[in-house]
Amino acid sequence: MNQFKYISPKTKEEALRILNLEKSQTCLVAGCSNILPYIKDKILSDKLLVDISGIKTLKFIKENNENLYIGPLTTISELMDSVIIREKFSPLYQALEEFADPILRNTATIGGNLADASPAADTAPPLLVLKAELEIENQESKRIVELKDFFISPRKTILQNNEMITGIKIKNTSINKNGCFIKLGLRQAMAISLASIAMVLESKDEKLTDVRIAMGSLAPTPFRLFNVEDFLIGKRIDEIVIEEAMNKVGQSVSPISDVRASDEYRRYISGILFKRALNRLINQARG
Amino acid sequence: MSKSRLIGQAIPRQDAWAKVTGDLKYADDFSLPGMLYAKVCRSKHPAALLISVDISKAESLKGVRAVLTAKDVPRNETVTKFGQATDVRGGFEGLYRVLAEEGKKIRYIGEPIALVAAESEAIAEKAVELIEIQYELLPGVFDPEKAMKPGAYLVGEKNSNIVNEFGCITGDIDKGFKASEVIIQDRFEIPFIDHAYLEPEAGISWLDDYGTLNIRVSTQVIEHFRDVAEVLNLPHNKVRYIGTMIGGGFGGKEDITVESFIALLTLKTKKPVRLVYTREESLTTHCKKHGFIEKYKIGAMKNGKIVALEAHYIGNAGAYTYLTPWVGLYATVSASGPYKIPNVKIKTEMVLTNNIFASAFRGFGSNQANIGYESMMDELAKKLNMDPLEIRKINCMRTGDALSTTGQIIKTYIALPEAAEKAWEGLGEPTVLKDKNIKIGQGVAMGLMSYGRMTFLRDSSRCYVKLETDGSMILRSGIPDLGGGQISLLSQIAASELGVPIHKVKAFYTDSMLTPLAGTTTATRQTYMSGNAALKAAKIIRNNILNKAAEVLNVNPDQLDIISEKVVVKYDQSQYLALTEAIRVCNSSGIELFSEAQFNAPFTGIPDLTNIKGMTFPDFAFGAQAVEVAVDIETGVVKVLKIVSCYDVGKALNPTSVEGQMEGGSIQGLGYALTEDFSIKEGIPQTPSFTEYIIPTSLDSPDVKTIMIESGGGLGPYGAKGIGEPSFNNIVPAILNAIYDATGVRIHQIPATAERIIRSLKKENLK
Amino acid sequence: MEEYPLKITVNGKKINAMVYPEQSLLKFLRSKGFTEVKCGCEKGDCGICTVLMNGQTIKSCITLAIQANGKEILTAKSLEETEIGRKLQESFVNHGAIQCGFCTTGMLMAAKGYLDKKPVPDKEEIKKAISGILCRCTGYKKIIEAIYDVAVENYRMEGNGHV
Repeated sequence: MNQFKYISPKTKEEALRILNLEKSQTCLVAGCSNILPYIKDKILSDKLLVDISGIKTLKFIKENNENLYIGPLTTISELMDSVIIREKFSPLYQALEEFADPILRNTATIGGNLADASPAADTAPPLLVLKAELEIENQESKRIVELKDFFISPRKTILQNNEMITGIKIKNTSINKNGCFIKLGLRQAMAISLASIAMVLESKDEKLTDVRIAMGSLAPTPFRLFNVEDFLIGKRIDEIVIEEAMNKVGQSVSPISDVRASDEYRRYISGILFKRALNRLINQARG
Repeated sequence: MSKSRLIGQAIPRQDAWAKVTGDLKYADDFSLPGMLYAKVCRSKHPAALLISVDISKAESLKGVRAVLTAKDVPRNETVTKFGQATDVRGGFEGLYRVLAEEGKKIRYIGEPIALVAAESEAIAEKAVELIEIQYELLPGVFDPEKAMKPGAYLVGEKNSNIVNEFGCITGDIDKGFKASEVIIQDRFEIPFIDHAYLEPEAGISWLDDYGTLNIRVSTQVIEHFRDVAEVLNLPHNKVRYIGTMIGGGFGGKEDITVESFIALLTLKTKKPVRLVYTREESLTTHCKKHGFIEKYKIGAMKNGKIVALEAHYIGNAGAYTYLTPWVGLYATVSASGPYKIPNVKIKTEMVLTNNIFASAFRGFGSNQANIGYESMMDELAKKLNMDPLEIRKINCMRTGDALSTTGQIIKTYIALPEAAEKAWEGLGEPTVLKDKNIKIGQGVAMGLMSYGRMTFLRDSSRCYVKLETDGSMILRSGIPDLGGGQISLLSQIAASELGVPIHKVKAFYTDSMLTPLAGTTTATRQTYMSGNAALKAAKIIRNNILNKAAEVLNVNPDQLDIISEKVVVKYDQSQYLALTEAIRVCNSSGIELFSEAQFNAPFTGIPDLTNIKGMTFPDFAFGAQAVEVAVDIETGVVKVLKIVSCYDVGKALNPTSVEGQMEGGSIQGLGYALTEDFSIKEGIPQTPSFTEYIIPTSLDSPDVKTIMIESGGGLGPYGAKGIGEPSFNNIVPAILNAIYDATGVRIHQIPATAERIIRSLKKENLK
Repeated sequence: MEEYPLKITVNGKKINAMVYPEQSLLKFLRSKGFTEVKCGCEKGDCGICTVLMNGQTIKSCITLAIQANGKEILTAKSLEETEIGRKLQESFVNHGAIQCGFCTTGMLMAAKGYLDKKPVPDKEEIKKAISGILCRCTGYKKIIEAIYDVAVENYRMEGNGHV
């Protein structure tokens, strides 16, 4: 039978102290979307469940001129209610609209979605193109990690067992508004992404001055397509460029075959989603 | 019929409020003091010889009260019976094995090997883990076409994996093809799908004060008390089934699920025992809808007239027989659809494989046939450059025609091509979208489906109705209620006949000892069979009342009616006798105001299965569905924009209920067409939970427009037919035909996933 | 195996209990007799276990019981206490939005959560609000219509005029 223990720290400091003390025995619990299914599937057993969902100081959406700060315990619903997110951080907002289903959004947290590190985590691609930085703390110290360096492999991140995400920082730049998120799922709600893309771009005089592309469900982790970005920057976007970029996208992804789709189809779709995102944003940039 | 009649009115169901308040106790909501919890220990391999089962560690775990294996089952192997009182041989019965036996072959992953009863679910689960099983792994066979070949691995104890063969021959097929001006051929592959009812299998058993075994279970068939009694070696009258309101059945709760298990554990421990399946257990270990491979060849003249139809069906039965023979017969009889074809040859082979067994599922072989023949009709239309509706009009049966397979003459009304025309018209003008990547397509499909069981089963149903002294009514019926309003309908019928307001009717139901047996809630038979039984019982009471009231009012009985609790003179309603007064007078005169009536379906013998001819079903329901889809030709994603469902229901006894069946059937079919695939690789299920097994959500489901034709031409009460299964017919091929219309691509393998559509499109050089 | 104290209010009634950390709120509620909260998958995939926790819809099968400590839970039984709850119940019954009924209590709570936000009635928004709950019987149409009618009546009564 399972031997779980439970503790619900009221402050961040208390949580970090517990993590430092118990380390690998701990499992952080916030929105709890996956904990019970993992226990049921025997992926999790005999842990100290550290329930941080009551730490109110980790739930916030703050903005100043330079940056947006999001607390890791902010739920998907709370993020969707934020006018700032909706108006200024479009790829993130669009991802939230397609996240799971409205009921799950009430408890699922942005920090939890990242820390769980599913290759299909829907908040990851938009946060990658927004160049999010994670504030990660343990009892002794604090470090900043760029999201692009956060994911290691499916369900594994650079988080040590005495660390937790305490903040997400996004620079408040104009490029964030011209963004989108497109997801392909097997149905219109409660769908694990088969493939997803987030993109932001800026153009001037018909040439692309900046672009960031991230994809999900197409590799062991969500990832940025730097080589495609480099290829596109400075170019005038026409059909030949798009075609060549699509090929590069196809070469950049490393999808698997599973019960949802084959790797071939996923590779094919990656190009389609890329083309659609790019066209949509180019048109949007034109006004 | 006058407005005061309840029949035809959209009155709310009697069980609706209890479901809304949550007061209704389903099978898992019921506890008894001292109750134990059961868990099933299941095979981890799809094909193996069971060498040994060591339960010693499990037995000695604290809190475990019983661990049972096949040795502990009085009769571990019996013959499956499906609720009829008659013995049906002729290949329609199969082996029912409760637990796997040492020295015998295990046939599927999840096959039950041992049972545990413990003081908590957690302890029972732990005990299951402690059971040590030795297997000798065997290769197994998973593909039905491979399993049919001589020398294939044998799934069971017989020397062939072929369970049954069926055939229908009409005319001369070779001559037919020779005379054809065009010939088309195709092959379709249809997977296993799951019922995906929201309520997992559940039940509780206990011994009452007299040692009678009581089983309270979510089941479509309470007549299984006989089978469980056989398993336990008890007299039939010592096993009582109490059926609960079912949280969805669709055929998945038609076979015995938990009952034998809990019964055995209760007999052993003398305690109440409850078993509830997890969703994963339900998905992977209860029956599936048969997968089919269908090869069709159709020959026609250039004017559209079909002269020859040949079909070869291979049905994937999975590991055990269960209802496979029946599904095979249904598919065979349906294979030529509602079309008049002079030369027909159907051959069906049902094959065992080391997959989860297939058994009943709404539609029962008829849908699989419908997918084949309605896809072929559109292909023929394409070949002949004809309109899909036109080709159907030219070939379809009309009232009085005979089925091209069995020759059974349809004497009741055939609403074709009317239903297809109405459904098509209901679609309206094609939606216009500006996106160049989205192609709009419209498609239609029509078909037939039987209602009522196969006539050689000699089906019957009984219902009891009684008028109380205060004018309230009691109804008793063994009818299981799946959520289709089965029980409420009987109350509505009886109340309507006797002029009693619906709130004064109380139904007692689904108890194999205390309510008259009404037969299975399957085969779209309850409106027809139990509806007629209720009507018959109510009419007997009605006649008694009218005869007595006629004496009192000094008129002829045929001048009287019962409306709103008054026995009125039809031509002068100011002359009346209050119903309670009429009841009083009857009681004082010793006239009975109760009746238990039996209704019999037509009875036939078992047909010659090599060439099935004559009546096999009491009647058929006819209908059509039309669909509009938007196909993204770059991603392959299909969005269903419009669905129109049109059926001849004979008479809509409760229009809301009928609409509900049609709306639900269409959306369940949407899943079948586009997302559902109970995929199994080497015997291992790939979709063991609702994360992988995808059914439609609200956002995937368009508003289904329903059109009811009320021809009055049914065998049910007031001319009703049945709608439960027919409503699930036609939707899949209509979607496939719409996809074809949008993209020019014919999907041969469902579900028509985005990937399959793109792969087909690319073959045809469309981007 | 350790148990932890849980203080929870369910439908206005205070309950004190000891729970294992890994016990779900769903199983806890059902063990206390709140069998109107149904169990369909225990993975958050079907939504029929939906209840309101501090006014928000949640899936109780994937919520730890202990996480509900100090919180207020409302199940379908609480609907009879409010006017809008009773209207919802009646609308479901009259629309024929209930067939087997197993998803009904979850759907009702999702509907209550939606209506509590006093939205402008919109069938597409209603579809979204219930998109996390599976129904196999009805095809969703009558459920959506039942909720819509209550939303319209509510909107009108809030003085917003007709929709």
